[in-house]
Amino acid sequence: MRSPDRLLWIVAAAPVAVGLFALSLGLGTPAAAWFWPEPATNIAEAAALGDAARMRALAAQGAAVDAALPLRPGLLEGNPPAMSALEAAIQRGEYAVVEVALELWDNPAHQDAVRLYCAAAIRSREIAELLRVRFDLGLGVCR
Amino acid sequence: MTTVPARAWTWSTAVLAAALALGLSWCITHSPPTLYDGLGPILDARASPSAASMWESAWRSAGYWRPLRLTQIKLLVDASADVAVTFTAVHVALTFAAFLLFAAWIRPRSLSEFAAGALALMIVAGHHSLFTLFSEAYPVNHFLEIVVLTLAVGVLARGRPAWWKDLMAPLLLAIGMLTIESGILIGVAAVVFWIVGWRGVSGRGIAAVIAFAVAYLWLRLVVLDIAGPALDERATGWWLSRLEPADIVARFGTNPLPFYAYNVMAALLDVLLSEPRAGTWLITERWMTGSLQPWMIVHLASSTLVTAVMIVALVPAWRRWRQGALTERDRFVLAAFALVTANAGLSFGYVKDEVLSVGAVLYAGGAFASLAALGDRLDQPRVPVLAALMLVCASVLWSSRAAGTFLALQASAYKVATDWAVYSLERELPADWAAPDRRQTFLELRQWSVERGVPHPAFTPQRKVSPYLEIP
Repeated sequence: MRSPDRLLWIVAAAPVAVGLFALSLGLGTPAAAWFWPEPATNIAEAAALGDAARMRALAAQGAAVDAALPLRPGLLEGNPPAMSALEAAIQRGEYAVVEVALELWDNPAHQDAVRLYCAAAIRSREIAELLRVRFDLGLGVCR
Repeated sequence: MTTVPARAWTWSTAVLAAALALGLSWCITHSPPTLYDGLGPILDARASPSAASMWESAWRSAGYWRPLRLTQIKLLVDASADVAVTFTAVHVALTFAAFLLFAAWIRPRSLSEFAAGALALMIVAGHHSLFTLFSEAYPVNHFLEIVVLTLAVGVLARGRPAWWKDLMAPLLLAIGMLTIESGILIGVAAVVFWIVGWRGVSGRGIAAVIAFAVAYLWLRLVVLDIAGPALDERATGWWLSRLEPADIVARFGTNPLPFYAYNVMAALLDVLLSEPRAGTWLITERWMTGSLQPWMIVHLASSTLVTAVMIVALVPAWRRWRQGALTERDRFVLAAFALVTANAGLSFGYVKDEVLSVGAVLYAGGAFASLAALGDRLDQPRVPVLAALMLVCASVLWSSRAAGTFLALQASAYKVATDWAVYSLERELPADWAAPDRRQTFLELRQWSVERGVPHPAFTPQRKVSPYLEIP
């Protein structure tokens, strides 16, 4: 092969490699699974990550919203071993995620509601107020 | 030595284009539809009694005049059993059309043209002005529609003349102009293609194109008095920062010309150099504050390299045009600069990536021709080292940008899925929440969106490569 032709094939190599990657995605090869892995988090882990879409998808499949589920390490400060989705959302401290968690589980027992509200009050006044109003709690229940 | 037939290079480019379209379409099918610019039109379509009614109400809108855009959405909503699936299918079809039409338009016929064409396809897949065409569904991505229609005119123009092409060209222009304002660039492209010597659409067809464009402007500006978006329509970049609508009015309300001139300049450089971006000199600002990211250097270097090659090709092309001796490659280069300039001119009101998409795709066409010419010079005595270096660098840099598009689509999909999950229709659009059919449509779209299975970025390759790729 002539040297200029060899160079032109080298120039074409990178774009062709991208094309092969694109083709592998489209054909659903293992490269697609590597690039776009199937989510494997449970609903509490999703809440800890702020993955509200995953929370809704799992809830629609019947995932236990109120159950304490195991959390993989590194998701939340202190590496708690297990908690419910709402607790994980409160600990994450993202208002919108807490709203979603509340929508999916909005009738905890009074004891749990107070506990969650008091835990939120330490972290975020805004989220605590959201919980207080949603659970219809009076001010001062944490004393 | 066996000579490869010219058609083999053309077909190889088409296969590469199809592969890219397939991969991007796979990402599109795994992504949720756009929420903020997509839900509103779908709900309006549900609320509208008919396509005719939708057309009529859009006919007299203020600021933007896009009757066919809303009517298309209405027709698709009415025809769909599953709205999300329908609009995804349309998005995939437009993506394939764009890539295949681009391959058909450039039609490489040698190894140097194949290599240059492959690189040009990386520009189509990787240029930031084209990213939103693949990442967003509005629910129909009308910017992608306009790119498809422009490329269709390019394919018509570059082929042999035929009477039906003289009917198609003005029809495609009419569809584009009634869909979105940048559709007028289809007409500009048709005229430019004719001027540079592509006569697939005859002089009669071009006269019809011009007549349609004049009729559109007369109808819009004189009869309906819909001038265009006001100065306070939206925020846009200004040097190192961003101006909100109130700031724009305060500074330029009495004399908007400097603002318009800046936007045109910024739009031109946006396509040619990837800096500034949407009017803001982002890379410059980051360099000054010591927070430059590697991907910014990749963007600037890749665009500067290719634009430099195109400018070098422009000089002899301009000379040959004046001599009436244009080559096919000259036509691509001249058309590219003409359309990038026209697109920049249309961006006088504000600068936005996707509004520059027609200019960007023609830029890719000009890049094809210029890089092919550079490739042909590899066996000349004094040129090869520099030429080879430029070609290889351009290939690697633009391929990394194109690869980054897939990761950026993934990141964008996660963000949009999260938007759908936290969005409250009851709070944002209570009237639509109160209407059972529209509430049902929203709930179905939201469920479809959250079930796309978009992975959290922490579990994807994004976290490893984010400094080198522009990931939103």
